[in-house]
Amino acid sequence: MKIKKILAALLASALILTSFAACGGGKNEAGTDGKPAKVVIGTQQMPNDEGIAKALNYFEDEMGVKVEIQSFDSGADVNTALASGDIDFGLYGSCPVAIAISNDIGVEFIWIHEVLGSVESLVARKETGITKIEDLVGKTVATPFASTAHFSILKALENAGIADKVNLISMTTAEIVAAWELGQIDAAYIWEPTLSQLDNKVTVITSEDCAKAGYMTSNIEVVRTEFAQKYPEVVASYIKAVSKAVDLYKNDQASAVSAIAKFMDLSEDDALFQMSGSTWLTASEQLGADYLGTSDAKGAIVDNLYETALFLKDQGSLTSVPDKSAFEAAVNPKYIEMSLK
Amino acid sequence: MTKKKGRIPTETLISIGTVVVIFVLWYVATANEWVNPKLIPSPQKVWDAFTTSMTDGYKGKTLIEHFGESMGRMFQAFGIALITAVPLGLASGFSSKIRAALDPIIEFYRPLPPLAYYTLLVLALGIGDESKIALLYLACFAPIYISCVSAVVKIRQDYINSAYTVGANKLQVFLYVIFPSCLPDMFVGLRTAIGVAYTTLVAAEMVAANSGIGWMVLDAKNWFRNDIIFVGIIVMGITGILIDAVLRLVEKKLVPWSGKA
Repeated sequence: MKIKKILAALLASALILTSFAACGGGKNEAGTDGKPAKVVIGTQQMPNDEGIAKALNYFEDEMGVKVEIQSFDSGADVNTALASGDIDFGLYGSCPVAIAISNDIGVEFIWIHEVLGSVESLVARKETGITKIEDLVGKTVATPFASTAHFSILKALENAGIADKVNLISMTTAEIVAAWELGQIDAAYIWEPTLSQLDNKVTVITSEDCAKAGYMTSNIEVVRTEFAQKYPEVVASYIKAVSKAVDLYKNDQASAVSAIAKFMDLSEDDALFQMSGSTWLTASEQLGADYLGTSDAKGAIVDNLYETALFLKDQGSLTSVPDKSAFEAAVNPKYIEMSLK
Repeated sequence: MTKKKGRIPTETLISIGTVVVIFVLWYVATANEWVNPKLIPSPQKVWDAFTTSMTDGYKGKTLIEHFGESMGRMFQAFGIALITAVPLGLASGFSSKIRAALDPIIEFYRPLPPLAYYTLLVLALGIGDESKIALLYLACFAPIYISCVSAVVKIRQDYINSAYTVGANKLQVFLYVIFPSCLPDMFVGLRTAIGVAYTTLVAAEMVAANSGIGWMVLDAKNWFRNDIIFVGIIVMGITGILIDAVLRLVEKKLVPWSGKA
């Protein structure tokens, strides 16, 4: 009886191992004329340039291939999907990308969707009386772990010297809304559209405050290195599509807002409010020294990612951080340059 | 089965062989990079993760502390299930009316996946330990209850009758005839309960936990710490086998007549 049990357990684990090994192969079969059969974009529901590009079909127009969009709830899940090769492009924050580079998952940083401002904030329930970061001592604060919001709250708590005096717990966006309603959490560091769903709130700090204090966070796009090396033109067309969306937002805000509002089922006022909580950069702005920089002289984002990774290591989440050159190599403005030609 | 003392049975050797083969395969596959090392860490990396999590800990708590937190939740749930499910199960076994009253509830929730109703438990009981223990409790309750019912139903009427003929009173019949004959089945129920609770452990620590071995595995996923995921799974697997072994040992001591009807 006992031996049979053990054997069964072992067989099962052997099967798991072999099935892992079996699915290691390439998933993207090549289509015709040097283009992939289809492109899979991993995204998160946010009112940003990628949302506009999706709503207005810019991706299929620019890439000329079938585009599949996969939605994820957190950057951690996007990382898992990138590592397993199930998606080609992925959207997440600057914190998950630092994790991806540190673990050598094989991704390139190609685009900044937005620099986070008040779109991502630490808010407290009004009745708790919390108004500043120091008031959080002994309180329960929820945030999705391994996100930019998690990084921002960790930094803020550390700066206030109360890192170990706050009960910080991991919750998904939907759980935060429920726990907030029931008064089970005192505060949450979260992004739009979830932020707007929380009632009776006091904003304690925003990611704009964090950026001013020296730790900028952003939502960015990565592509699997393997995919990018095979299809650089497709990556450049991705940039063209999101860049077109940014231009639309800058030149014809009403059309951009109406597209995203319809797409995300928001009112236009809400959409505009949420979009104005972050800074959008045009393709040429992204090539500036403050951001990606150029292929010859990479910008400040390299340091930003490297410092993020170092902080996560100090804080015990990452075991090791590679040399800064790994971050320099992962930041790749080449596709923006190609798209501008 | 005939066993000679001092000799290891062939079956045990085969089992050990399987474990060795798996380890060798694991080692060779990772050393030669047949598998993506980001997805499957090498045995060495997992061992390192194990030793650091034992000494330095993972996210502020050592592996033992994480494990202890989980066991605390699990045994509280198991204890409450024991003191509620056993009496209710025995009562339902004796009285078809009580069984009729409880059956709809138990038959309804028993096949439900725990994750389906966990959200409701969190909404009702909050994000603290209560909802986690409640989830594990529900996982433990059904198998214990059901095994008690079937144990009572199964008792041979002639045992009870013969006890009465030799002059035993009702209490004596219960203590010396009914309860002991239920024990073997009850133990099966208890072991199943622990098994089911174990499989629910990770789910129970999914919402708003920051400790526990299940949480550790879930958190490690966020940070791409596949070595920690392996450590967690291996520890859970081995301790699962150990707990079952302990229960079987207790069963052997308390119910030596088990399996000999």
